[in-house]
Amino acid sequence: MTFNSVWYALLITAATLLVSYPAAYFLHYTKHKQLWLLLIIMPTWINLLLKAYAFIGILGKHGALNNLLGAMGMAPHQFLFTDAAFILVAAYIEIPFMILPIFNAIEELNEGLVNASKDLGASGWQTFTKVVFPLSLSGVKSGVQAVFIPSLSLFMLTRLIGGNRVITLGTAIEEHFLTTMNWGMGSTIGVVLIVAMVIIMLLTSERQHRKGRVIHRA
Amino acid sequence: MAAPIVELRHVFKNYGDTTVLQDIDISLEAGKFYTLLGPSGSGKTTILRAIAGFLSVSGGDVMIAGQRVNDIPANQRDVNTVFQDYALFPHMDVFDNVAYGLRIRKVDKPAIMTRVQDALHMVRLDNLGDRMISELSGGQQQRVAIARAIVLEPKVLLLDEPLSALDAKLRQDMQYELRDLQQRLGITFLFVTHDQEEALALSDEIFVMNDGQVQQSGTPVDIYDEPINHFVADFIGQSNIVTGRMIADYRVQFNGKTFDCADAGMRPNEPVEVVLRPEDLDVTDLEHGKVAVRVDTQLFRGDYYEIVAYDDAQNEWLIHSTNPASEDGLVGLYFDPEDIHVMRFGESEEDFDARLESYEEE
Repeated sequence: MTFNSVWYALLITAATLLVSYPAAYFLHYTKHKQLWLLLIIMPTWINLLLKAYAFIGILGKHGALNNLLGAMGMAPHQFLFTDAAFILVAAYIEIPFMILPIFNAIEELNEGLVNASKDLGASGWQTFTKVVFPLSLSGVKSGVQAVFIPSLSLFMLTRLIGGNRVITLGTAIEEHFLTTMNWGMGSTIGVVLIVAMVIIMLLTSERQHRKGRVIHRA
Repeated sequence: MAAPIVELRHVFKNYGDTTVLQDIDISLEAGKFYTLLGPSGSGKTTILRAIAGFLSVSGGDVMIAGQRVNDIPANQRDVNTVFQDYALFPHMDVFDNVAYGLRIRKVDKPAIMTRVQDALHMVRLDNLGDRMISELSGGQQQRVAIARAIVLEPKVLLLDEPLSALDAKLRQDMQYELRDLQQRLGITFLFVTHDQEEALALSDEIFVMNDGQVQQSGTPVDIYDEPINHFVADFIGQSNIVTGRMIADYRVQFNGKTFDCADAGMRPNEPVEVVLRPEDLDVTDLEHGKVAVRVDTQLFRGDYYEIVAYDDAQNEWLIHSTNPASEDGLVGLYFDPEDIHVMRFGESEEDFDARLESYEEE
């Protein structure tokens, strides 16, 4: 169960990162960044429960997605209550929390460094792998922190979208406290969750101190 | 004469309706120290960026080593830049910063080792290879930026106001070092600055820029002694500029008097501007002076006194004198005929050079 929970949290974080990094990177180069940023932030103002119900509407047996597939002549599929649906919706909800720190890190990056890299003969891709990505890692780390830890304890989504088939630490705690009344076990899982959080914090912040991020000037 | 290493031919650059470079014609010879000098917004950094490849020109040709490079991206041009803010990679140590370009070029490891060490030795940073950039002082960062560029042995090194962030003392030391480095390496330096003293001290040749045009080019001595127009005279060094009239060759009238001078080749009675450098003016008594002025203020500058005085027509005169003048006193100003430099209005650089040649050869 603990392993299961960590595994799902990892999948959610990876899916989020995969979408967010390119999104943040291209956001940096678009005009009207503030508008796009607002559009990304806005969904976070909507209550999680409402968003979950919206997805039930989309993914359900008579939902928008199945209607669309039906119109194209395909038999209705079971989307809701699958692992894929759970990860999709969880990733959707976490994406803004991943994009923002990465976007900030890329924005802070001195454009002169990109020019310097090209001046020294590096191609666009070499510049990205050797300069842009390493310097935006701090944003990636903050993003991972902001996504991975909450993903460990997701429980409403596991109910509504995962159909209770996905058990995370969050659902386990709720079950032990409210259903089986095994408070001892519930508390233990709570402690495991806290330990997991501490480990993630240490993993994602330690290197920053050793390598010494440059703050005063580039 | 060898073929120019960098050449700009009729280069224009527009942003919408604003023209930032207007018909720039520059050619740089190998192994010399050139300076683009001008106030901010005069287009000097734009020229540098056009040569480096960070912006495309709107018209004209950019040539490097005889090859047209307008369409060649920055990373394939054989020039390197030292940036104003150094643009050192903060996530790498000094060694990795300097080795960056060599690694991109897939130079083998032992060669990287020796070349980086040579470059660090050249800028006197021998034992700092494993420091992080954030642990270095401004002057050291500056040297790393130079080492990172020269390690690639470019044909031309472009320097974008590299000393502007340093304090006065360090800046002077770096000036000597840059000059020394350029002579040892023998590569062409193109240096951008708004500091005229820096330009005069370092350069083999200066291009004075204003409003996206090259106003005058020449050796530091030429530009200082023979400024082509009001802007150059005013921007390079300090000067007293008064309007006058060219009576005849070698005779100029200003302040209601006629003086001997060393300029010729103008129309009789042509209106002109007359430049007198503050250090060429000598304070003397009224009988010996050519212009009578009343001393207003004087400041002790260490190696000289800076005296501000006014003549009867309320023209301001700036004088550099080793001896103080009596304040509020009437004094005479003496200058030799060759101290007077006469400038015509709106003369092009070609005409100016031709005119100088026509009477200096006699």
